[in-house]
Amino acid sequence: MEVEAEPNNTLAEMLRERLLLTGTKTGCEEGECGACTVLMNGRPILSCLTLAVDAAGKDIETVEGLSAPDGKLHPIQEAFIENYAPQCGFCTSGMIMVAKGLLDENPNPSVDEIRRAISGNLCRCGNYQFIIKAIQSAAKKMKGGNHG
Amino acid sequence: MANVTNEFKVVGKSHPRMESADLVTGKAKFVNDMKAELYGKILRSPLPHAKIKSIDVSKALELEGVKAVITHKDVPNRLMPRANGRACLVLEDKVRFVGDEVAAVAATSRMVAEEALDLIKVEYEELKPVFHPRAAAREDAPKIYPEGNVYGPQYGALVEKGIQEPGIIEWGNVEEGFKSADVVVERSIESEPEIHAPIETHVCIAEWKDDELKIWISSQRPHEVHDAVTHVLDIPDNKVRVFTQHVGGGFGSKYVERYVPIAALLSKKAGGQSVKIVNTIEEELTHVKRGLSSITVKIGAKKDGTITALMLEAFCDIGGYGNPISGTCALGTLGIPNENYSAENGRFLAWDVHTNHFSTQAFRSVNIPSQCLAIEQAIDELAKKLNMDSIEFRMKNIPHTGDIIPKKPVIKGTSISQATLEYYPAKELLEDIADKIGWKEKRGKGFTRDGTKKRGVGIAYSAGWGMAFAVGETTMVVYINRDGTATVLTGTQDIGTGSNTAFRMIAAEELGLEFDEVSIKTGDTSFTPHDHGAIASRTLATGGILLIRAVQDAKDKIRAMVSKELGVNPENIEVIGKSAFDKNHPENKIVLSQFLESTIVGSATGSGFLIAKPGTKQRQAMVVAAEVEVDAETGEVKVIKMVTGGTCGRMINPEVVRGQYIGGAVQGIGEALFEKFVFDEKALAYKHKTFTDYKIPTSLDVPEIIAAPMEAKGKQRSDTLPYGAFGVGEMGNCLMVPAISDAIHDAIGVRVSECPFTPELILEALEGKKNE
Repeated sequence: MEVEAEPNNTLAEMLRERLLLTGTKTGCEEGECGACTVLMNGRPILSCLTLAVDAAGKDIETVEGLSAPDGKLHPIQEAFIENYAPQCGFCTSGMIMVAKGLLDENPNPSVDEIRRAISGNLCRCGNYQFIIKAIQSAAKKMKGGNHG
Repeated sequence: MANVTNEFKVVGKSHPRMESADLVTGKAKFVNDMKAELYGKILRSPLPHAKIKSIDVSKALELEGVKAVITHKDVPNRLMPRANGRACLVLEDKVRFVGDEVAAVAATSRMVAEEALDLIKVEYEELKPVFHPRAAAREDAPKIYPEGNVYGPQYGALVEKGIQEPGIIEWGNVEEGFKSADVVVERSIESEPEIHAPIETHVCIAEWKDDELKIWISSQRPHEVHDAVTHVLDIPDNKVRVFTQHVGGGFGSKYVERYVPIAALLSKKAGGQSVKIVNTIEEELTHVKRGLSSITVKIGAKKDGTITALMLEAFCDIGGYGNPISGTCALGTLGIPNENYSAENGRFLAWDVHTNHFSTQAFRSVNIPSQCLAIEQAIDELAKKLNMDSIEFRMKNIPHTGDIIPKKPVIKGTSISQATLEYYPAKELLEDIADKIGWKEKRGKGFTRDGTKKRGVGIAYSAGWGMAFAVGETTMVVYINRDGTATVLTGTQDIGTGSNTAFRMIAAEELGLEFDEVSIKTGDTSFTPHDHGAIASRTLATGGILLIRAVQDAKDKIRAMVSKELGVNPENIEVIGKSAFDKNHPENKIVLSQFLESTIVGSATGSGFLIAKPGTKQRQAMVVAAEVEVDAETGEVKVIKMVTGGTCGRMINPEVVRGQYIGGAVQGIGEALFEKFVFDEKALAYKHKTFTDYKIPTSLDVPEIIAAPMEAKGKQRSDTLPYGAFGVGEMGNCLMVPAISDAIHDAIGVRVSECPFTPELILEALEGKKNE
């Protein structure tokens, strides 16, 4: 995909305002809350602190890209629903992208590894233990399967 | 309560929030996901207390891209309600805290709007500020309002009284009570402000089309936003529509605020173009808070452990405009926590005091954490003096189902009276939570690890609310569609608590439908019935019982309609599972889809005042136990284990209920240990403006929390709560501070009287102990 960006546009702005991919949320816009996390070449990054021009030539994956074209949910998305991971849901997109980055690299993370992976993503509803359980359950679901 | 023999079909079986699929796919829209034509920005005061001598906006107006500028000269001379609190104009010629609204700009981009703010010249006449509620309550304090800083207890919405008196609740004779005590303990505590800090910051969009105003807002109380805007802008009810989307957390912060009419006025000036105002994180962390509470408590008891007198005096900072629900209201209206213990004599005084800090607004459980910190510290100290285990001491004094509280008639304070406690198994709950933390094995037997790390366990108890809310009439509406499916209409807002899902479950239960056969419509004040909003843990309790009544209303209409056809009197007809039938001969039935030609509408209106049974009182008991590890070398406190529960009655959606208890616990741990409000009085600046400085808990800061709500036994139906279900939104948040304080004391033998319990305070306390 080719999009033009102003030199001072952040990736978050480009995704949300130009491409209308508003699944990526902006919370603090200072790189502290993690709500805007997307994957760049498979690694979680903060799109509010990343310039859009720096995304040129890289693979950018957002929450909208997770489910299959026919709408079938990704196992992480399923696990988030089944384990009551979203309360208000504002941090959910960022949490899911961090989970994807983690599980793609480490299919069997321990609880501690999950805790560390999501420690840059704030959930003011305090729902961390449901999110951790969801990521554990997603890891189980993804075992053996090929999920983008 | 009448027993119902039927098993529940939908209620009591966990169901993920209905919004979950949209939230995990990114399809869920929040207000900031919507575009607007213009960006609004607010010029904020650099001074805590000043008169505006002059404002020059001419340079800002000249800037290309600026479409509107407003100052105090452009606002209607009509007072704006602040959630039942101190009313103020949309903008005034006076500022009352650093960050107070001075002027506002709408421009074609955020950058232009920000640039325009820099071009507005304001000349201030500085006034002496006052920051502490005890100082601000003195007669010689700088006056933030001409009538003084103490907000009168007898307030009503939009009414300024300015009475220099505290809110009061008094029964028996406390002086006599203390005289007859064998032991008396007095404790003073101070808990600092806490910031709500939803990750989705406050946001609204306003747009005029002809004479109709549309507002999209992230709010807990869309109808209250509607009411405030119609009032302050003097527009008829039917000309304002308030829309909501998903709300990214509220916790008491997302009520009515000035930025809403500001956006509306900017839009009007800009020819009706849509104007979006969204808080930056700095604005979010410095505009509303749980206020500072400075509390002294005195409790007397007999040798056998009977409490003879209980006295509490609280000074609560309500900030520049305030919201009295944080202070006096917590005692006066809600009657909590003066009812925690059955004392013969009691006096509770609370002063709501304006200061030159930003406003206080109800934050999940309001002031219970600080009041209970004071009370529970004193309770533990009393138990120690009496050589009793603190749980045994509490057991002697906690009221139980059927007890009349307070024990003697209320002699001062009009908002509470003696009444009989309905269902209140607090003692059973206390026992259960104590067992789950391992009280008997661990209390007083703390061990030391690695030389410096000391373990301890603590517990805290309080009464809480969660019943139908006293004020604020609400209407619930249900449509029985022609095919027998149903649609619920509600004007409240699901802010992540699962209320929409719970309402669908209740309607499905009542109508014998599947969950998917009931839908819910919300988020537009133009067609949803009026509702008091998602506050005070009232949504489920008030809305749920009214929804049950609304379904009954619809059923009654159907009964009357099919009576002739069935040849049965209406009272003998049941309407369930998309049919109406003779209760005694179920085979004599009518399938609704073959009978109904139009929608059948059922509705019910009420508030807690109308729902409650006279002479009875509903309370929900809460208990939290914590195990902590205190590093005596660094002062750091780590929560190792936490058990939290309440006598929540029925759980409509159990996993969601547990989520509320656990989430509240996480917030409470933040309040107790990390979340530090910092105001530099020399620089006149808040220093907690980012999440680096204002540290809310992360996944690494909290242990696995055990939620142990105690459900009512049996399949009961209640006239005043939906199947006996209390609201639990705030309950989990009440007692983390006192429970952690008690555990710290068990670990290192010191009681810290200031909250949050930062490493500095812990080390200071340890040093003090050494010097004793």
